[in-house]
Amino acid sequence: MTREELFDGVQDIFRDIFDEDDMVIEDKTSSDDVEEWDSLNHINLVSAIEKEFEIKFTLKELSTLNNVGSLIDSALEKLK
Amino acid sequence: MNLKFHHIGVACKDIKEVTIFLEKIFNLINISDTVLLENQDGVKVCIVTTDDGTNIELVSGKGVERFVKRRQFLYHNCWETSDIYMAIEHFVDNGSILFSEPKPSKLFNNRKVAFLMSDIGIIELLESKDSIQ
Repeated sequence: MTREELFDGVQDIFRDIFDEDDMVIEDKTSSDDVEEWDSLNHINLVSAIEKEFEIKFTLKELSTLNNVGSLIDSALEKLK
Repeated sequence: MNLKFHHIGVACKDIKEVTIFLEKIFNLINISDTVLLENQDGVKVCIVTTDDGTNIELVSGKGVERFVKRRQFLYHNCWETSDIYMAIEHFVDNGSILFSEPKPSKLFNNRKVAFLMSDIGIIELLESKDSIQ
């Protein structure tokens, strides 16, 4: 899977979780940019990404995934 | 896996106010002290028990503000287990995410609690009294 394909999948997850069909994310998008991106939605995002791409993040990783880019890079690493 | 239902978690704005409501509705046989949880953004918890033994945990503070705003009051369910680590593994193996490692809880006399996100929402695991080491 390419980074672009993964990015598109993650963007769909963001749109679904935040219920915004036209939401556009970038690598630098973080919880500072999305009002509803609180700790609970962070878990919801990670959970949805794990399920969609059949990967697992560790508890330690959860706290370091603080923007879209880090989420994607970490997921991509696991898909290799 | 041995899991015994322990309580539901209810998000609220004001624990005292909700306790008064519950006292009018149910026959409460116990109301715990309200405990301020350390390092959790001013989150306070209290547990009440009805005369049939059902426990309701009331939670207020920043961590649950969003639930209260949406009037989504029921927000977690708690299960007691004799082996919290094995129970965590069981949930994680079945697609849940551990987001809070086992830590002693002041509300439960330092019995350990852990939190996971699962397909049925937030799960709290509580080690049973006889498993404290």
